[in-house]
Amino acid sequence: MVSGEVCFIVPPHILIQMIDEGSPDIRTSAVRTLAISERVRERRAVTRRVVQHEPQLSAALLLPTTGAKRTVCDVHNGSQGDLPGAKVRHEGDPPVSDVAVNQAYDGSGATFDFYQGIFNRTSVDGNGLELVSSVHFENGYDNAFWNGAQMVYGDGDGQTFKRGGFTTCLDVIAHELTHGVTQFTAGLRYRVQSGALNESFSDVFGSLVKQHSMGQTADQADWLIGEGILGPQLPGTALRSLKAPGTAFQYDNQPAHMDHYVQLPDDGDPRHDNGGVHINSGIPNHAFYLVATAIGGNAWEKPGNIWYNTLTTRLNENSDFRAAADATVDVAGKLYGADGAEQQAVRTAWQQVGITPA
Amino acid sequence: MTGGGTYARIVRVSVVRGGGFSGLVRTTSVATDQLSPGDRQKLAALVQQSGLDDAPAAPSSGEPEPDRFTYAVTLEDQGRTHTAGFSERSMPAGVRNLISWVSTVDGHEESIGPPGGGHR
Repeated sequence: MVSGEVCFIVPPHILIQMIDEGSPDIRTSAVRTLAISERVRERRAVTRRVVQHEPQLSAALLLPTTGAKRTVCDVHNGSQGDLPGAKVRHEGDPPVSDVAVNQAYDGSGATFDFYQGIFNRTSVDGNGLELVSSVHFENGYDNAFWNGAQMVYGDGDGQTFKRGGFTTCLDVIAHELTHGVTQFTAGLRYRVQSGALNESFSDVFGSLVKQHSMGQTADQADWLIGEGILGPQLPGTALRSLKAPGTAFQYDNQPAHMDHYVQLPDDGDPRHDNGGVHINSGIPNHAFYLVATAIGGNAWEKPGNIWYNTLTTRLNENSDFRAAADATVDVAGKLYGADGAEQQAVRTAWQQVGITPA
Repeated sequence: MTGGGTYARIVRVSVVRGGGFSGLVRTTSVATDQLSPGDRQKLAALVQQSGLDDAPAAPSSGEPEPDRFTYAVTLEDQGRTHTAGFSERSMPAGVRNLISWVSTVDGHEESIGPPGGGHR
């Protein structure tokens, strides 16, 4: 039995056309139509288009601001249709007995504060969107994700991933929330190189949020993603390493150089990872690591600022590695001076991973 | 009445799950000759209820979403193979039930590896 869904009065492709071609009034009307639709999948399909044209309008209408920073919900092993679940910890509430709730609360708060304090960005949409997190999704669910509007955490099955592991790891939380930032900015399509860039920006800012929380400089940081969450089926230390892609655990097959770029078809086959988005992200990941260690000091400062400005102002949904390389070099020059040490570090880093910026 | 219908000769059902924030590929399968007669009947019924035969080879709906799971379910009957693809959002309840059963039944096989299939 398919659960009941409210149908669009206006089909999604017409809404997209209205948003693309309409006057501001027509766009507003299209967004309002979208806002009352409960077909989340179709909302998502249209949302990216909306946010590119009308970022503040769409955020305000689709995902109303509540003034609060975050809320954590318990979905009690329910699935998609049960989200977000029962609210169990509101902003400012004291800790509860469920450690997953408290970890999701702290992690989303640390990520919110990072973007606010370092880049003056208020929440993932830049417009104060309340960060809602739901814990205990399904049973032994082996994943955590941003669903376009909120965070969702499984408990892990205890075999592939440790039970309760996902919320313990701040870089995983910040990685997922950064998918939200990308959604509201560059909108990088989750396929092939634009998809690998989408993944890489999530790894970079995931690691930076952790480094910031620990007060670590670039040379002190471990540059790992998912350290300590692997279950017995995955021998190793972490899922990915920006410092040494391909070395984090037994099945880590990430390249650190274009010579080892893995060509996979973007054919919807689950074996092919949308054209290798979690594989080839190792290349831009390592470029960022090289920039951060060449510039030195706190990686969230100049290196993070170059990457943040690139993501939020220079890239679009089809940007590839070369476009990202060119844009970061240009941004570094604009922010810190043409041919300055920072711009040279960025140019050299991309060359070291096999990409020669313009 | 076994509920087996046209699926009385199923040889194997395989589920490939990819994506998630790890990108890892997990393959779970059951061969009917490893199942008890009761489980064979149950599998045939679940396959029939899943509507798998009418589902397209790849999920048709929209753009892939960051760090979500995607699935391919392959049915090997005697003399033919059919694969259907699903995103988490597009997966019908019947397919979800089938996957859940295959992942837990006595005699199922499971493996995990990196995307792209290459083990270093």
